[in-house]
Amino acid sequence: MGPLARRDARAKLAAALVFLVCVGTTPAGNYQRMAALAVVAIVWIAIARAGLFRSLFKASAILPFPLSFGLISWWVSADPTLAVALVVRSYLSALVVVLLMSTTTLADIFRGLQSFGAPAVLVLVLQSLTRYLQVVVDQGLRMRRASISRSGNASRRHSLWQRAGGALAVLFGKSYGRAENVHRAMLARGFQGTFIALRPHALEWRDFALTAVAAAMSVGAAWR
Amino acid sequence: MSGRIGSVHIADGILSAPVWAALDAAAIPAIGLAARRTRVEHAPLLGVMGAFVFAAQRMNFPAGLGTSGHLLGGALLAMTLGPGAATIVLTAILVLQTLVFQDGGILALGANVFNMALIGVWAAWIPYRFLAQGKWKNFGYFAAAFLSVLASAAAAMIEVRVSGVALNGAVVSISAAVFVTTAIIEGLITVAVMQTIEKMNPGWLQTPDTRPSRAMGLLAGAAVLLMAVGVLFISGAPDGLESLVAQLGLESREVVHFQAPMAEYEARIAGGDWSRKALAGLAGLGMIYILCAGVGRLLVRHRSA
Repeated sequence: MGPLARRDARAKLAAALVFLVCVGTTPAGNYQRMAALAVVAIVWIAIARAGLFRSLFKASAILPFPLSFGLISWWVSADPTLAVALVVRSYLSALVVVLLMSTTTLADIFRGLQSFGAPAVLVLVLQSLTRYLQVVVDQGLRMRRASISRSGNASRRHSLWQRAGGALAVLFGKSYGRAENVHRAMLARGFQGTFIALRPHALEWRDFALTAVAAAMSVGAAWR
Repeated sequence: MSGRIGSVHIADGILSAPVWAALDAAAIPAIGLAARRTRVEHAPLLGVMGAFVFAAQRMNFPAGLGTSGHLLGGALLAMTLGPGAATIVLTAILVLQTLVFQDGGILALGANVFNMALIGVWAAWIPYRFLAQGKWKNFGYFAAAFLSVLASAAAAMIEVRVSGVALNGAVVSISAAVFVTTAIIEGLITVAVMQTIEKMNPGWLQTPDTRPSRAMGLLAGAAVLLMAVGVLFISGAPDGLESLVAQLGLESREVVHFQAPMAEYEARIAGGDWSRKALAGLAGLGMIYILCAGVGRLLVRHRSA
């Protein structure tokens, strides 16, 4: 576990936000600032021991979106400056989100969001959603496999649509029923409206120092 | 962009600072209001329904020519959970997609929430509200899903265009064709699902508290359609007034009687271009937030009085 993984989620969220604002306000054509911000991101990946090539690869998942708009913009305006800016800004932002997620658990991020003022009901929905995501997705995939096994793919298109629509409606019903069971079980175990944190975090001076240093690096890189 | 055509998750770095800041500031009080109207006890149900939408997006429907489409789910959530709860579930889905799946950006989260969880949900709810009962209900389901996708996509395109990304008529036309196709697929899937849900348990559907009105439903649907399609095409052209002024050769006669404090989205202070734009963005964000918070407080006070 790298040193960043031990820090409070709120400190990392605040530091990431400052970096993202610096990247998001970088004007097209300012390659010096883009390079400086890229160096800052790479330094933090190295400090976190998050795996440079793995992080670079994961962040590339974002590329199709800015690449398409960049190419369109280049084609229409015959100027590649904005295209480069779209791709670089998006990629650097994604890189920092990859770093944030590789050093912080989702549960900690949700608690961080709540302490930043996110509505309690939204945080609870996020927690329930992540808890049951895999279960419901697996159930959906099992139902699809079963449907294909029983009737194949060769029937008329109309019946294929009806069958797929029916399968989705049944999955909806099963999810609804599961949600009601989950709610009843939670009430039976004394659910008071919040999930209990097993590892409650408290902000230490190291967390404040992390935010201050990271913010200073980002703003320093951007102020040129 | 997400791998799903039609559900445009805007990444960070695409929108200009004033656009993402304004949409973040607009989305925050709207989510607060939706959260206030959603009961905490319903959170497990909403969470599992969010997981259902993820699962539904993995199940493909044959769309012809060797292609397939899948449910996006905004309209279905609006019709089964109601607009407030659907907004919360879609916001949770967008947060998770941003953080875990790199689908959309953190600064652009306000824009994505605005497009899909607010515009998408309300564009579905308006026609559903008026057409949900009687013999027009299947058309109501279709219109709700169709308009939800089209309005969200149009809003995303406008935001990208306003942010300075050059789009010409050909690009806008191709995008519009893709969006309309996706919206039709979403409409057909939603009708198929809703028909089965009705047979299984009609109690799962939200019953609008107004009497069905075919005329009002058609009018509301047409208004949303006009807004989505019209604004999409207008956004591809230069500003109408500026274009007229240029054609009439009136630019040289322009007289400035009042200098706005943040004209051209720049704060009039000393410093570099970046600091002026960033300060203008932050000031805009602050002003919109204060305005929204003030209006929200007035509404709450008026309701409790």
